[in-house]
Amino acid sequence: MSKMCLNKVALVFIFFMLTSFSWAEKKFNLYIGTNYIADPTIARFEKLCNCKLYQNYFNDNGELLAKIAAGASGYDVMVPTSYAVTDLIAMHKILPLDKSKLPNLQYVDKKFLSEPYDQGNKYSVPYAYNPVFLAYNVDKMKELGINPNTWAVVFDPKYLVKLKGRITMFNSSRNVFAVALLYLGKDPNSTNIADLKAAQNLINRASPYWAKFDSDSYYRGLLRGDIWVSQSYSIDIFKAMSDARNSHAKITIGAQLQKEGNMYELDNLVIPASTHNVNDAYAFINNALLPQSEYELSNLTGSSVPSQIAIKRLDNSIASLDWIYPHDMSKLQTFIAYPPKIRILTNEMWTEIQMQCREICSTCSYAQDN
Amino acid sequence: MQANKSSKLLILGGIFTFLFLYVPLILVILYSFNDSRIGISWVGFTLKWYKVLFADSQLMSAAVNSLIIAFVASFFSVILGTFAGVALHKYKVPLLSSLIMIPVAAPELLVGVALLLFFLLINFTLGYVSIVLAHIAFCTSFVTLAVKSRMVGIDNSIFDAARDLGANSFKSFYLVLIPSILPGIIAGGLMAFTLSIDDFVITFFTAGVGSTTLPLSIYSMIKMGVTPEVNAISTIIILFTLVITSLASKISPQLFK
Amino acid sequence: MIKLTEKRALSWPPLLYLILMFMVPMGLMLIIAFMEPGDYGGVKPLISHINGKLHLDLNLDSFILVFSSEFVWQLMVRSIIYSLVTTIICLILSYPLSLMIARSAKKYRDILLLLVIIPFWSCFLIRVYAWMIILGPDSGVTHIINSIISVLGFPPVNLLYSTFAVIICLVYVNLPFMILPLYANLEKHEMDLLDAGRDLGATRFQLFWKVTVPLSLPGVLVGSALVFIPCIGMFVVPELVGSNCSLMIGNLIKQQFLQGMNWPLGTVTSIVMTVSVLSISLIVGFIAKNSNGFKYASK
Repeated sequence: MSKMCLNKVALVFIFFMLTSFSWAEKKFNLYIGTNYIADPTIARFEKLCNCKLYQNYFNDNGELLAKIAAGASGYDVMVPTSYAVTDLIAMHKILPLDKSKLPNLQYVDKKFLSEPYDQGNKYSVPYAYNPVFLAYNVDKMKELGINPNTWAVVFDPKYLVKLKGRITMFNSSRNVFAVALLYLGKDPNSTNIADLKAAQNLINRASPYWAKFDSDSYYRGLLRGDIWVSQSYSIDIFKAMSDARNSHAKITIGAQLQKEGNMYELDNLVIPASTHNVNDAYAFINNALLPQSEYELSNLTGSSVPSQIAIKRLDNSIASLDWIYPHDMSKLQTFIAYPPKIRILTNEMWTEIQMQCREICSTCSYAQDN
Repeated sequence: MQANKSSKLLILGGIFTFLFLYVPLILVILYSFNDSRIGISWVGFTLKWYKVLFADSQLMSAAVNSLIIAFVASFFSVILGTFAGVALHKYKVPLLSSLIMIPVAAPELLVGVALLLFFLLINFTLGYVSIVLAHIAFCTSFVTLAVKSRMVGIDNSIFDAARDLGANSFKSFYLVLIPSILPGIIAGGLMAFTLSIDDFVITFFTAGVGSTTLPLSIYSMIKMGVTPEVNAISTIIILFTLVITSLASKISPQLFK
Repeated sequence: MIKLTEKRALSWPPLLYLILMFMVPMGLMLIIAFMEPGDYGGVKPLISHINGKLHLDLNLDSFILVFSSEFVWQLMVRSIIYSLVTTIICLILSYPLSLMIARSAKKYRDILLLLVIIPFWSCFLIRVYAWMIILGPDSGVTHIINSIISVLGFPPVNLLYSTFAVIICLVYVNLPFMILPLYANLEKHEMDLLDAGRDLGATRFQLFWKVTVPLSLPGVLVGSALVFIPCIGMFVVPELVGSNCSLMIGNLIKQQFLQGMNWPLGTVTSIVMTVSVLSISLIVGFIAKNSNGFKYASK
């Protein structure tokens, strides 16, 4: 009896192991931010390559770099931001691109090509960009008499006392440092240690008023009404606004660029050196650069796309939004990679900012920085 | 024991703790049938989140990944764990008995980080295999403990009897010992299976591209704030656990003592 | 001779596997702790050529950085306090339940025990998530609590994303680890002892305090260790339900590996965590072993 039972158990195991190994299909792994590719674009690509596209999500380029540096392989195309491209090139983790396989590159606006992070676009082609700005609860701002057209809203105690526990900032060292530097009137890509220390001090004094470092679900806090001001990406706010409309929420979310200037994350398509699907990777990129794809991306997710043909087809309700397609691009800057030493230093600073619980400093003088 | 004030107090305390254990889980199950996307106020009964769930191909493939990993991991950990359990019952192997306690006694984070560094330094690609190898390690510990607890009730004289009847070491192991501790082995295997399916921390550090498991998907869904689907998948997992746990306790009641 | 080979045949496969998967990785961690972080993640090579000479790159930089950083100590102390508080709350919640199960009729014991184990076997993310619903800003519990405290004249509080939420979740996910060993101990108590005490005129409270509690100390100790140790390394709970001021040492370790790309720093922090846990467990174990109650109970 027992022996029979044992055999049965063994049989069940063998059955499951066999079925598990026969479960296979052609897969294509994309490493991308959430909600950053339109469904019709995916469908077109899946037909093209006769495979199934799997999206693997990241929220911060630091996370992407840490994973790739640690030897993660298996992705077929990745979508890193400008500065991360430079680091990936230095790490020899991405392949140089054969432009002859990317005819649709011709549709990309020249002003987004050959950026300093990858001269001549040897390794990367621009996919889309996202301005980073403050989104806010319109009624609360009116009530408090705050105009969120300045980064002072998240740094100056004059505003902070009214907004204590209602602000979220990104969980991303580059983004938080950049806006602190912009507020201080410095170069947001500064590698000057004194500048960075000044930014760190500013952040340390403001952070006790902030509710959370969050780049994943901050817009849900805005929607619920417990968060009033958030450092935000255009795509998230685009989604939050449409969610608010669909669910007839009482809350109105506003979005605005800041007068000190804003960063924009220019995201790129790159092919990891470890892929076995180089041809599919080219097919993916070429498909993504198609004006139709760029149009779908901008229309459905609210991303800003580097393609005039696509923008012309867009509804004016999207194309005219200043926080998606800024009227004055000269006030927006993109990120430049740090040298390794500075990156290790800022990472250490960031760790301390994130991990240290600070009390509100009532005796600190803020005047010196302003 | 007759009912009086102090034993009533005891029962009250016990019931309070049971409520504390169960009310949150029951709430999750209830909300999985709630027809509302954002709020948590009750809107109406719906099964749509389950439909959304089964239509989500990424989530389904994560579930399949979890099942495959759990099957393979529990299969090998049952073999290793049975060996270790028998060895520890019959002989003194101090190193083995302390290694067995690592997953029980050390912070999971430490094991996860150590395994991550190990795989990276030996240039081992993170993916299904690294997850399975890690899961086999911690599951082995729990199977060992289950087998050992079953061994306590075994009369050693049956092995002598088997040897007297001419069985060699291997035969007495396979024909006498294994059948008599089979309930312990199966219960240990079921335990390994659930532990592997539910593991988050160690999987989090040893997973690679395309080897996302169910807990990893749930984690990112929670972080993104996708609530209704999380309720639905949680309900399925809770019911699944209920079945497996009851099964294991039926087969080997000693497991829990 | 036969015995020896059987011992080897049985113990070597699991032994070798566990050495490979537990001891070797932890040994590697010890080495990495003394290495320098690489420019792009990972670590710098152990041996480098400088002016044609071989140079061994091992240093204490990461240890110095960890020991001199105020925030690391803040996190460590906070983690220990949270874990202690969690252990105590778990003990208070478990004792009546474990005693109730141990004293109930035999036929009910198995089913009651099963009811404790089911939550323990279900995915712990779900258990944390359940509390995110309960403590969320628009849940009934939050509304009730906030309306009570607004009557008392206090501003509304956020239950989620607070230390309170972290502790509740830590207690919730670790509770079965306390109940089970405690039950295992209480179940073995000889009822004769209680009867004898009663015959000698002891009150119920005296019986509980002078007989049951001292006898259960070994169970309390095992349960406390099983709650305290995993608690210290938790990072998911503070990440999902905590605020910036309720992060624990585990969050720092995770951050170093997955965002900060500083392996040596993460490794040193892990070592500091492990050493703290071990020394606290050893000290508590030592004190308990030398206390009279424990000596009596282990006889």
